[in-house]
Amino acid sequence: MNAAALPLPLGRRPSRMGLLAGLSLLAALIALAVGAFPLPPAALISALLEPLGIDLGRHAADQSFVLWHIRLPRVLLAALVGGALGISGALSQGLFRNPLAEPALIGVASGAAIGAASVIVFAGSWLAALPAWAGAAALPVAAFVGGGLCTALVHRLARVDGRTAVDTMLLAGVAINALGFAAIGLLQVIADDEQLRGLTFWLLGSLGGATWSALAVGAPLMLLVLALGPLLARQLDALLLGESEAGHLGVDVQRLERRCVALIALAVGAAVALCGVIGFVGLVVPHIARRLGTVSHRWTLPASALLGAGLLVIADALGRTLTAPAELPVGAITSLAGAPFFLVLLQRRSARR
Amino acid sequence: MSLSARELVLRRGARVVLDGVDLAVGPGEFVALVGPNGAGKSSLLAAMAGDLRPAAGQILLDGRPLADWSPGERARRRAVLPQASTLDFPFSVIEVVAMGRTPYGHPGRSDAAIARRALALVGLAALAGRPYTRLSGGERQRVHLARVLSQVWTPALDGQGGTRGPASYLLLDEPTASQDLGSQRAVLDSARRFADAGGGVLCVLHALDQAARYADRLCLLADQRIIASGSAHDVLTADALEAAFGIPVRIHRAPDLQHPLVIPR
Repeated sequence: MNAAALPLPLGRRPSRMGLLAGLSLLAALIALAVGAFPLPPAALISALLEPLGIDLGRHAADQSFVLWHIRLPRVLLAALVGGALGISGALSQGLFRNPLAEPALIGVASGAAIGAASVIVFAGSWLAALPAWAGAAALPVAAFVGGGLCTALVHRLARVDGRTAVDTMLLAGVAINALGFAAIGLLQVIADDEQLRGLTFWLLGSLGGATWSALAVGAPLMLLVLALGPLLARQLDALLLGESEAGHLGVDVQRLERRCVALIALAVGAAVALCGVIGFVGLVVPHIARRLGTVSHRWTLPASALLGAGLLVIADALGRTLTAPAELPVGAITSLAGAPFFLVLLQRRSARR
Repeated sequence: MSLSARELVLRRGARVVLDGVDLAVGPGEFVALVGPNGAGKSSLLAAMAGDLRPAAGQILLDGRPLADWSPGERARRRAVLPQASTLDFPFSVIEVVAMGRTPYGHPGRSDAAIARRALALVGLAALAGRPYTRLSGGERQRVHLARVLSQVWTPALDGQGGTRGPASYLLLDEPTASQDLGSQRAVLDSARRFADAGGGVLCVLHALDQAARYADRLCLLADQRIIASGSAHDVLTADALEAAFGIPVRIHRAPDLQHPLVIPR
């Protein structure tokens, strides 16, 4: 082993991180170009540069409209939601010290799903009476509030003698998820056909609702998590040694766990509120990130964010093009691709041991 | 300047685990805690680490109650090596060792260098880049020893440069349990070296001959109390050991041995 091959400064992989960022950006550019209304590269670049005062004159007005009002907010939302889900997945696996954990285990996803499903099924007539903007806001707000309440419940259930027991929390999360699933099943039974279609679409996850106003609401929350999450990296690494070992290393374990839960709830709550349930990104992305670099959270957290962003942008672009002009829900694509991929990872992992 | 327990009483539920224990570990001192299972050795160590709250009495670090120290301050002055660690993620060995530098904020080059030096000290420098999950049990324990050494690193440990702060303390809970002979020796040699470099070591040991060989002072725990304390010659007596372990023993003193041998009869 030569000394130069050792990580110094420890755990940093600047060049690989740059490569990941570059690939994600490339994916975003391609995603901007493809769709039911394709934008040729020249027109895309020309339309992108227009607001900067650089007029290449290679695009038409309708191309500019599609880019700025439809494609760009959608790709940005896909990147943000993918990044938020990716980093939440890495945070969850660190929090639970278990590579099979996923953000849904803190209850946020099922809570958000119940909130949104209730609005779709029960609130139709009231919403019609509200002004349009309030009607449109009701669903994401209900999802976000539902996610927050359910997370608080799971967190509360796991408190023993004033301390949060992470293993209890994991089991409480599993139970709450089962309960949430049952509640949504009941709602599906009593929903009429149109409500059922809305419900199914939402449960499969879609970025179709991407607008600048949706971004304005969701982006600050998700950007906050993307900025703060990596700051916990070192403490999360120490936590993998065990709670008391992390405590011996000066980590305030209870505070760290509360912060993780809060960040995951914020990111996933915002993502689910805007796009519905998008499965498997949070579970699979951190595994790919670890294989590309190291298991240290100093790599895994930012790499999962970049990778999640790139992958969801690609999945959404596939959803928009595979069956164009019809659209496949992005959640169906991530689950279809994610589940088999995850099984392959598991196989390799057991083969290596 | 010491890490000390004063009239310490510990309870677990209704059961009294320690009943009025006084113990001090000073800089440069290697103190071994010996005694039968259930005598309260590990509980005493956990209390000195700040993990267990005393029912009465107190734990002092440099004369100040341990509870008054912030977690970060405490972590820079004392490190704890558990009997076994559960780490199931394939970190590289050097990354595990560098976790010891967590209390020092953002990692820099000096932290990486200290991690390397600590790993060299336990004799595993060649394994720096290996995945931790592929090591044997003995190697893992030595990696964790390097981790706790890097946490309370003092330059005197390997004679290289660096500034020296106030004395730090190393708390080891049966560090040689389930280790082969070579690994046991590597672990205890490193701990001894830490004491010789000016640190304090408090170590729970089952093997009395190891305690006699490495420690400056032995504390024999039985029935929730320290029943004997002092050098190996003072503590390893037939009377004290029979009282503590409840079996007859013979003490063998040979001119070619520096410490007495305990032989169960």
